Amino acid sequence: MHDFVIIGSGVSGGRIADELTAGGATCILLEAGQAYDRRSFPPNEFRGSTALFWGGGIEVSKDARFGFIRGKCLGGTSVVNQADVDRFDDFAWDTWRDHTGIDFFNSGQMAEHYDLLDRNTAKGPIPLEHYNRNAKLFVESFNKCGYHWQPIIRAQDDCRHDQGSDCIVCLGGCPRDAKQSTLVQCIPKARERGMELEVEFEVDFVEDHQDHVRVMGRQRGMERSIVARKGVLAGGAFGNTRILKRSTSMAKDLPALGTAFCCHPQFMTFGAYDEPVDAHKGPLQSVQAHDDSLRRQGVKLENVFAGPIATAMLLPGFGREHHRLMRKFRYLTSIEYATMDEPLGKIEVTKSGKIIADKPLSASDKAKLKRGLEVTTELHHAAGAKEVIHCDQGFGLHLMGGCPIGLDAKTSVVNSDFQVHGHPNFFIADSSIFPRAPGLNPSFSIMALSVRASRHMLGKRPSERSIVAMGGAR
Amino acid sequence: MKHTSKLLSSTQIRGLTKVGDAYFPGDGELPSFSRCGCVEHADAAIELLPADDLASLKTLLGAIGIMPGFVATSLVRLAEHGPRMNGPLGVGLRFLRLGLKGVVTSLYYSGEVGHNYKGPTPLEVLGYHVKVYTADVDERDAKSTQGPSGSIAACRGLK
Ligand SMILES: Cc1cc2nc3c(=O)[nH]c(=O)nc-3n(C[C@H](O)[C@H](O)[C@H](O)COP(=O)(O)OP(=O)(O)OC[C@H]3O[C@@H](n4cnc5c(N)ncnc54)[C@H](O)[C@@H]3O)c2cc1C
Repeated sequence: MHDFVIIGSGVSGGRIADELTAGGATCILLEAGQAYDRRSFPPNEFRGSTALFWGGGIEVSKDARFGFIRGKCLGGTSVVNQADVDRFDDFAWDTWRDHTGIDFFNSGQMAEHYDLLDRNTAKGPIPLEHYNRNAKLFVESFNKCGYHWQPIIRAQDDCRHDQGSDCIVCLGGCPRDAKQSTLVQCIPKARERGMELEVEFEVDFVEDHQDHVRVMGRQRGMERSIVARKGVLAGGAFGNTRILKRSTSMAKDLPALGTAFCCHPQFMTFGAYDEPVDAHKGPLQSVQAHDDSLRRQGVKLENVFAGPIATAMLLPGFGREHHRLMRKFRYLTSIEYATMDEPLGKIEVTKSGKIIADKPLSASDKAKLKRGLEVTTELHHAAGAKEVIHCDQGFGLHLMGGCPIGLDAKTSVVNSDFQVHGHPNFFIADSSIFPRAPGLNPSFSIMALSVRASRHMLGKRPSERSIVAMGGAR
Repeated sequence: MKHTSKLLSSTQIRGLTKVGDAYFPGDGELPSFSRCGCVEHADAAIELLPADDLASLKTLLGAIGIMPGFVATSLVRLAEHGPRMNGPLGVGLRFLRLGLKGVVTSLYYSGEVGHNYKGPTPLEVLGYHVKVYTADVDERDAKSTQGPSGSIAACRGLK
């Protein structure tokens, strides 16, 4: 019997697989998506969006105001994300601590985990000489309007922008393994240490049997069941909530399951220029807002761009007017505004297993979005855009909550040792435990929480550095 | 046009083409949706949709397939109002918009065209060319005596 069965191979699952196997535990990792490597990633945006994402590309909120995107492949969303790695600031941790009463939610105690990741992760800013015109215009507009910005730190190694690499390609998987996804950084090491791996294995539900856990699912149409001493749920906000809701014997003990869903609702605005911008060339993202006043207002701005399919989906209208806008593709800049939303969302699962994600916006969320739109419009004009195009299709890339962490089993799903309340054989440390939206990029903190949680899983105190094998394993 | 889809009937393909032409009628340089023949790749756009979404899409496309073209255009015009509308009608229109626009946009800007189409693809008209330099990593992996690295190592031994 394996010590651990880990469900999901994304930011959290992949990291935990690395940590647990390094600690000597035997693991099996189950992933619903397919395994691709740098040579076999789908060749273009079209093939990539259907093959690498849940829902055949996109999932939709209950009221269809928001499209949700999450990776479904070995390495999970870490394969398709932008790899921006931010530490949470005091504001984010303090909000979490005040809400949950969990003491270690503070920059001081989390620093140890971030520092460890810093040492083990290739990352850094994009050198100034490689900024594309989209980034340069973003910086110019910020300087003119008096907002503060900062270079984005990206978990990537040797992208070869000097050889003309265009990072937009890597939203469908990085063909040179420069992006430090779990597929590159964690899973190979865990495999070297003997971890078993099953892909195209979608877990349906789990059972807690006191001295072992059982995981039931389907692999390429065949029913499968896996037994292990303990289980790690790392399927993300939607994945974990779905699994637990379908695990009826556990769900009945978890009244808060499916609550606290938030997603940093976001919109894109485009600026059109007379000269080519070629925002799709070179590093996709180099800079972001770093402005206290915007942070306090719950507005997050990033300098990003999207491929032609995503851009065409976001641009309003149809017919000749849509063609007119798309013909400007090479002349467009874009700024994305996201908000630190209130955790009012709910994730439900129908009898047939379909996820229904309700994402209502509070008055304060709407005010933040309005502010985001005002600021981005001001910025586009300041940089000299001839036309500013607003998009009314919202989307969510940071899916959080559903299994919130907390001390009270009535209002949370996971305790401060990352165990499911009443079911200590199951651990969760991924985006589903977020009790509140941090208003910052989540993945680096998911990694930090996963490192901390791994120590609990191995029966160590969180501050203990050397991790040893579980007694009696194998 | 030869019917190549294994998932959609010819009526449904007709419906998809009408929606595609309403969204992408062409502008002289950009070809129309039907002219570029991207609909030949329809199966790749929909084969991984969840079963119930695919069933709803097929019903919708079947209905549009037997409607006159101007009705499809009116439907698309209406759907584009969805994001600004409240209430159940807004919800319905937004679902309609995401479903229809999603499929035809993916196909039209896929860079993939019909086997008979000879003109520039919509991506070429936009001037969209992207690449990632890999010569050095290909060479490194070919020379490596320690076996593959990175994502290739992670997938090693998997079927
Ligand atoms: C396009 C995009 C760009 C982003 N950019 C950034 C960024 O720059 N910086 C940042 O910090 N964040 C970014 N994010 C968000 C970030 O990637 C996610 O918050 C993070 O990946 C969540 O980690 P996770 O481990 O919770 O889930 P994931 O990384 O999504 O991993 C979950 C895994 O579980 C698998 N799974 C789910 N259900 C099951 C099941 N039933 N059975 C088996 N397997 C299952 C999934 O297929 C997936 O592989 C981005 C997201 C997107 C979509």
